[in-house]
Amino acid sequence: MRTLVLVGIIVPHLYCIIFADERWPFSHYPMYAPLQAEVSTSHSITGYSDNQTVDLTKREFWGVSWGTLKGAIRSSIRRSKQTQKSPDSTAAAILAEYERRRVLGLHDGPRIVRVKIETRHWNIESREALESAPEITLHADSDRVLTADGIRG
Amino acid sequence: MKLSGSLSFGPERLAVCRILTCAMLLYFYWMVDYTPYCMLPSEFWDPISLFKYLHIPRLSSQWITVLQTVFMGSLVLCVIGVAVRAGAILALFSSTYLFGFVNCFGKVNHDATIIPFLLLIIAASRSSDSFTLWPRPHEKRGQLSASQGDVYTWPVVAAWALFGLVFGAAGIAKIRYGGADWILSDNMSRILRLHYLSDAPPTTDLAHWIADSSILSSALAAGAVMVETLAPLAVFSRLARILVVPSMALMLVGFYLLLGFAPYQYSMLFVWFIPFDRLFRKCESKEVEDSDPVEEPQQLPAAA
Repeated sequence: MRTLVLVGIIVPHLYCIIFADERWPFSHYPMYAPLQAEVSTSHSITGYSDNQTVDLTKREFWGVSWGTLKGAIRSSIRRSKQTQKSPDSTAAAILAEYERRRVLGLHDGPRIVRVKIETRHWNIESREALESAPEITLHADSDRVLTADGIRG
Repeated sequence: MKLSGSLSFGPERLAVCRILTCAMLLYFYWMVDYTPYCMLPSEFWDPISLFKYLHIPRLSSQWITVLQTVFMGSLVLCVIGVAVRAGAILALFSSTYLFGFVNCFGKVNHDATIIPFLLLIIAASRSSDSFTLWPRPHEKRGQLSASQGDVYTWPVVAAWALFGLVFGAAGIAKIRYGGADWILSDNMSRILRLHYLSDAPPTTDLAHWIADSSILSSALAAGAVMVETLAPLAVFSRLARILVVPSMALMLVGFYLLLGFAPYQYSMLFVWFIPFDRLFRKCESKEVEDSDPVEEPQQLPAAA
C-alpha cells in the first residue's frame, strides 16, 4: 500500500514537473513563473440599463468571486477564438445569466439590456504609472450578437 | 520503497498530524459553499483533464450540497478518531470532486492541490492507532512485526515528499520560465505592484516600498527561488528541515503581508514537520520527574 501511495504521489508529479504539464491535482506549479510584462491586462464587465451602468464584477450578482468569474470569462473568450466564434457570445451569455438570476430573485440588481467586456491595460512600471487611469479597449459587446440574431436593433 | 531511512516515528505523531490536518480543513472549508458555481453559464464550463477524460459530470447544486456535507462529516470522523479510514476515503473522494469542480471554470487554482494527497496519506496509513475514540482491535500498538517497523514513519515522510515536490516545482518553474531575469530584472517589482490592482489589495505600503528598490526586489526574488528550489532537500536532510521549512513558512507570511493573500492551505504541510513525538516524550519525562517523590528522612520511633 505504501509503495502504491508514494509512487502515486511522486511519479505523476515528476512527470508534470519535467514536461511542464498541468493535470490537476498534479501540477508543475507555475504560479508567478512567467516574467511579468510592463503592462498588465485585465477584463472588466459592465451592464447597461436604459439609464444607468452596473458594475457586474460584484460577487452579489454571481455568488462567486470576481477572480473566478474573470478566469471563466478569459477562458470562454480563448475558447471562442479557437472555435472561431465571436467573443461577443460570451457577453451575451453573461447578460442572459444575469437576467435569469434577477428574474429568479437571486440578486437585487436592476434590469440590464446590454453587457460590454472591456480590456484594461495597466502600466505597472512605477507607482505613479499604476495610479494613472488604464487604457481601455472594447473586447466584446452583447449588442453585436443580439443585433446579428435579430433579437434587438 | 523505503524513503524514511533511519527515521522512526511513533503512532502519536501520525495521529496528531491526522487530527490537525483534518481540523484545519474543517476550519478552512466549514463556511465555503460551492453551489453558486452550479449556476454559472454553460459557456464557462471548461473541464480539467480529470473531469474530461473520466467523463465526470457537472453535478447539480443539490448534489454539491450533499458532497459538501459528506466532506465535512467525514472530516469530523477523522478528527475525533471514529472510522478514520472510511472517513478519510470519503473526504478524499468528495474533496477531489469539489476542488476539481471549481477548477472547471477556466481558472486552475493550486491552493487546494495538496488536500487530496494528504487525505490519501491519512486513509492509507495507520493514522488511527493513537488518539482515537474508537480504536480497531487489530490496529493496536505493539502488534507490529519487524518489517512493519516504519508504518508510522512513511506517511510523515510522504507528506515531506509532497512538500518537496510542490515547492520544488514552483522554484524550478521560475527558473525555467524566467531564468536569471526572474531575479535580476524588474519582474518582482512588477509582481508586487500588480497586487494593488486586485480585489483584495495589500493593506500596507510595504510592497510599494520594496518594489521601488531594485536591490530589495531582486533580493526578495532570489530568496524565494532559493528557498523553493531547496525544498526537496527537506525529505533527506535534517539540516534542510531546520533551515528550509521555517524559511518557507516565513515566505507564506511574507506572501500575505506583501500580496494581500496567502495560500493558507499549504500551512497544513508544515504540521507534518513538527516533532510531536519528541514533544510528548519531553512532557512525559517532565511528568515523571514531577511525580517522583522526594525521599523523606525516616522518622525514628519516639523513644519510650
